[in-house]
Amino acid sequence: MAVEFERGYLIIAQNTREIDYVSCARALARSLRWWMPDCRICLITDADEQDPVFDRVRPLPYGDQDPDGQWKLSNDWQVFHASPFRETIKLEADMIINGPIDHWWAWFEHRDVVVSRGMRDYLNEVSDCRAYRRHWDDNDLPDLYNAVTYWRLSATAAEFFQWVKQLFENWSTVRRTLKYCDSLPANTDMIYAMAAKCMGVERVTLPDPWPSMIHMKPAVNYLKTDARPWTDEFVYELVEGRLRINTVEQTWPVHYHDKRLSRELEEHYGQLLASRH
Amino acid sequence: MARGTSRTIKATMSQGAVLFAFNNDRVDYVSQAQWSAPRINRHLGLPVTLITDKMPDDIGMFDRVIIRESRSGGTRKYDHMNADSSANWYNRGRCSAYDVTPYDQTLLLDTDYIVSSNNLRSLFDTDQDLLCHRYVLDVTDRRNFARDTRFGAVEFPMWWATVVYFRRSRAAESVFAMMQMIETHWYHYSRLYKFDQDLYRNDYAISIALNTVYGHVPDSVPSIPWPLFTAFYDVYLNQLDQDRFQLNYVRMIENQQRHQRMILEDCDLHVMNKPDLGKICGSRI
Repeated sequence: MAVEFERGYLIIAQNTREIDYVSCARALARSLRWWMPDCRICLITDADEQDPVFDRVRPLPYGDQDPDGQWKLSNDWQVFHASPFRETIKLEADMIINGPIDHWWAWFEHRDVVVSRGMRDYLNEVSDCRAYRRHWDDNDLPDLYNAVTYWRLSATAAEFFQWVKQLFENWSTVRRTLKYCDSLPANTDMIYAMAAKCMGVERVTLPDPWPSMIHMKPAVNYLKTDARPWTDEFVYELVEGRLRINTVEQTWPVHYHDKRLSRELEEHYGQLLASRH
Repeated sequence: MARGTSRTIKATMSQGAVLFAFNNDRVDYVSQAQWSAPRINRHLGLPVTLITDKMPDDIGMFDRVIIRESRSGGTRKYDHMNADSSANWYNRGRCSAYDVTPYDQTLLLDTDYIVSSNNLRSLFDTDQDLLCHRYVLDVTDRRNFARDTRFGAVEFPMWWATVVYFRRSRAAESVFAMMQMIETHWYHYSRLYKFDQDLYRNDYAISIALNTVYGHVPDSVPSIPWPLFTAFYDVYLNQLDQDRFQLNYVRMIENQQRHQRMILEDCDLHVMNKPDLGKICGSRI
């Protein structure tokens, strides 16, 4: 794909039967636009999306590799080929930002690839919760999250996404080399962790847990059960462009996880943007 | 010029300590306050105002005594070695400190805080409206307070109300006003922060208030830049000299209980063992 812009944010969103990921992407794009009015945003989707919040809407360059899948994750490697940016920050669709993140470019610009490491709880503190990372720990894989991934057009990035592609395509074989993963479906975080391990973790990460995001899975936030989403347990408020959870201002991007929130977020940031014009 | 003006204003600001002491069946808080006041005078050079519910016989050590109605925050256990040591804890009303203090700059202390140094004096020279401890340090290094930097089921950060410095300011007034609201609506806040509503805790109230007043960003709350030196309930305390205390406790070493002794000199201490503190203070209960 030809480079159209030097830097920009990329979101991949394919709707499934249950989840409107494109709605999530619109909410995220609007929060990006609210905090960084001049930023460039590209959506990769197979939906017919016309929202002007996106500078570009692109199809998957190699088509849907998993037409019957629930998660559509195996298309992730295509982001490298679809991005119109020389330097890209990919954000997972079910996130919003709570402040400008353009200072991240300065963190990343000396690297070819940076995958985020670790995550934070609703108190904005680095979390040591391992409840959802048993497979990573069992297999000594780095604690990576694809939720925030940076790359620049480079041989390193091409190699990284080639690994991602190969690992997705050969998952049924690959998982037999892992402990306790016989029936585990492929997921992007684990594939990224394996790709990083194949290439050398230090080549695709930063030393500290930067960049980072708030992960709203229940156990990360001290909630006793996964049966109820955090939105049933915590009070949340949208105050201007920020999300406040149980009275704590969120100072990092929030991976809200409970997709039911997307419509409310989309509407909220839509109103904020409208109030600016 | 501006610095000189600011210094002049500071010099004319009144300074003092305030102690709340409401006795119950188990603990003579007033004796603790009477014992503490001369120590505060000596080490910090501060007059002491006592807030209590009944005029004590001996008030010579106090600058002022203010009578207020005591209000129970619930029942608590006072001696962790004695199952039958529960009593009402008259800890409500601390939020009125801002209104009742006669001083422009106030050090609000729990009566179980032993002042043996001039460390707290430095708080009066800071440019902060309100300060209290965010972290606690177990002086016996047995890490008994691992859980006490948080409260509630969702691990909200806890500040300690044991030592609170504040000056007349909008921020301090807001913190105490917020504490008042939290005290009044304790049930609501217990549900929000997922803690047990049965016992009112000033530590929780001030933590919630600080987070709110300082913009809902816990990291931005200014705190006393050293931990609260504390001896846990199971530390036995003797006074050897005016500012010299002996602490006896048991430490597990290679699965065996070993009796240990520590001498603490010229060091402030928050004492949780109320019966032992009572003996030192000449408690009448």
